[in-house]
Amino acid sequence: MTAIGARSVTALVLLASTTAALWVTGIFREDYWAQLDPWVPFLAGGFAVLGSTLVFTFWRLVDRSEYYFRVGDRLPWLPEIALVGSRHRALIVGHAAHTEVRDLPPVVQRAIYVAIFFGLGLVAVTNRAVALLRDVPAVFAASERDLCSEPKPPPVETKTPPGCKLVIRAFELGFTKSLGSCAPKAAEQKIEDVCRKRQRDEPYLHYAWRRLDTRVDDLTTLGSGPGVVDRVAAQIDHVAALADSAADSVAMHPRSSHHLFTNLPDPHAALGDRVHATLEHGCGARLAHLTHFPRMADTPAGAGKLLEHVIDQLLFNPAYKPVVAQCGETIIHWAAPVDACTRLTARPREFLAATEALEPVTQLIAWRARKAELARLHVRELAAPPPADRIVSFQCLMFGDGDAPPSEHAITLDGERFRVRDTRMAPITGDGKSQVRLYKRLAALLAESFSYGRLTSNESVGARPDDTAMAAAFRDPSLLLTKLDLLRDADLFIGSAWLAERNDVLEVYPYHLHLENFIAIFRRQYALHRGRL
Amino acid sequence: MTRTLAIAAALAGAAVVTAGRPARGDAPSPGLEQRVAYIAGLLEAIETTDRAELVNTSNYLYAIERNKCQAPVESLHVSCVAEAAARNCQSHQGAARERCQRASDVIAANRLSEKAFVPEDVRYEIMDKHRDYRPALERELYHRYAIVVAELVMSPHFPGSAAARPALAAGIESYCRELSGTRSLAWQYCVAAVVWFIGTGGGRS
Repeated sequence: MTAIGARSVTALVLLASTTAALWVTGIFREDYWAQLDPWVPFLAGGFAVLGSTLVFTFWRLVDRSEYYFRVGDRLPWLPEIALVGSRHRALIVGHAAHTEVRDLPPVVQRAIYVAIFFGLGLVAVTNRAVALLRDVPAVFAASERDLCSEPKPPPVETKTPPGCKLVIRAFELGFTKSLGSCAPKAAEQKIEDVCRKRQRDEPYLHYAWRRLDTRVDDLTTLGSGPGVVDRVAAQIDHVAALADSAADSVAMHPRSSHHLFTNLPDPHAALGDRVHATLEHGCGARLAHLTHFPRMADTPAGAGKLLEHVIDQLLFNPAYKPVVAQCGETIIHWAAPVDACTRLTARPREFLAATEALEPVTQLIAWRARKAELARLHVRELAAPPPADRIVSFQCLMFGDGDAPPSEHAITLDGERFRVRDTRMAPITGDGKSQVRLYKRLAALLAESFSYGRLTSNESVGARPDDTAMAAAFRDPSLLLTKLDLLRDADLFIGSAWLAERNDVLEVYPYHLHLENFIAIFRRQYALHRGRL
Repeated sequence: MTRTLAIAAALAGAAVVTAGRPARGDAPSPGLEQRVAYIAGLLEAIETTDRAELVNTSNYLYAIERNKCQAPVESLHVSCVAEAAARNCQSHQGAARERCQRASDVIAANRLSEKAFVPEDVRYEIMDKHRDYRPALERELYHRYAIVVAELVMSPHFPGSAAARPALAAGIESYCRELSGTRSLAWQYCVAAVVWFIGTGGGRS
């Protein structure tokens, strides 16, 4: 049973493969060697010596192989694997640390690896590679554009100034000793910017030191403003504000605080709703599936849920652009007293404390003050923060007898003045008209000077179809699909009273057309008055 | 014992969490029966009308909509198309007229919904790439109808491929109502697209 060491087999296989590769690439051809740069075999030889030495050392080719190949029966007590062949005569690879295997002498193995690497070197290094290597020093040398240009001598005026011909002739003949104003003048030298690149005779270390020195100078005097040292000295007095402001940003504290007080009962009073609200992270999931115009549930919580839906649509729904508020920053205070805004105006601090609205508001005012302090320091490119009444607001929407347009009051809190807007509307019911009324009333309450009319509607401005004609068209069921397109010109937000009596048509009304337009106009107006820190 | 308690607690928690959610579709949709019956009629009309007649009607409404019915006011445009569709069916009598009107309704609604299905930029791209852009646009529309139908088939509204026509119509109605309630596609555009695709055997051809 003769076993051949894996190291020898590997060396022979690699040598055979390399020889085949050299044959295929035509390196054995005579004409190839005839045109070869002598540097090519020299470099390939160097590569072969280096590579083979590394392989010989790291693969420990001086030692005997531990793995072996042999042909015969697999021995069950040895870790052997039959690669190919029959049961009794197979090519077997095995591992035995101390078995006697036949290996090529180390010198021969080394010679084989030198030959292999020499072959690889011949494939990799060509005449072109040698030419490229020759150009390397030129590539790394400093190019002309990195150096200052050679100083040019000022050009000498060669043209004879007018009226000087005779004077020059007299000077040449010796009749006069000086040319006077006709003497040739050096052209006026243009003052050029100082060249800050490397001078032609400047040592590299000097140039590097000069660059470093310039950088350090730049740090201490940045532009026209104070240098880094001066700025840091100024900021030390405001370290607390800096740290708090950074903490506010990192902790993602609310950047606005808008409060809506309503006398509707909390629609999420049930334990299940509270657990659900606690488990919900943000409002993304809720907003992703908002329906355009849901029917109001016929339950005590129905009106509250509808109010919440309308606020979601007006302010947060990302389907409409731009999003003008964050859902966690607009807080609805359910079951508020009907005179909430009167109480808020009379005793703001006490009322807000009682409704748990004081803390978020005062925290936001403090954050805004810190931002204003930092903006004055010019720490970063910080603009002055928005006015306080843009980021904090109070609204009351009370349901009861009759409608009342929004009225505005003012309160002062921590030295800042805020607006309090109050409105009333008749109770909402399950019909579509109520929902439209709620949209319009909330829009007017939240965005000052909001208005929506025929000019801003998606309806055709020119010839709006008559309501009676529209109603008559839908009494006939034929061509229903085509006729439903007429509803493009029937904007529920500005009229179309006939639609309120046609619940069947309202079920398939293209809400997205008119609602999207209404919300876009509302948000444009809202963004003029409200914002975030 | 501990495991049983844990399962009981989890079930109780799930019950509490879901208790506050409103039940879906607890109140019937007004006019639902009429709409379902109408859609079933549309399906029947498209399936039973001769293909050549459908093509003729489509070409006629296309020409009318592009030429005579052009108007700056949308309602005038739509009324004109509806009137042309109705007039085109006056030569038929009785049930044939009814069937013609329904098929025309689907075709006219599809014509009006082109802008909703194929956005302006895609339309220009098609016109730019094809000398005769109409067939290419039709192919693109068919693709988009196919997507809507695929969504319907994968939705819980689909009654199954072997369902009878009224059940399929009910599925189309509720699916399109849900789609138009949450996305920017009108109910009638959705219905017309699905009915045309299914009625003309879009899945098979």
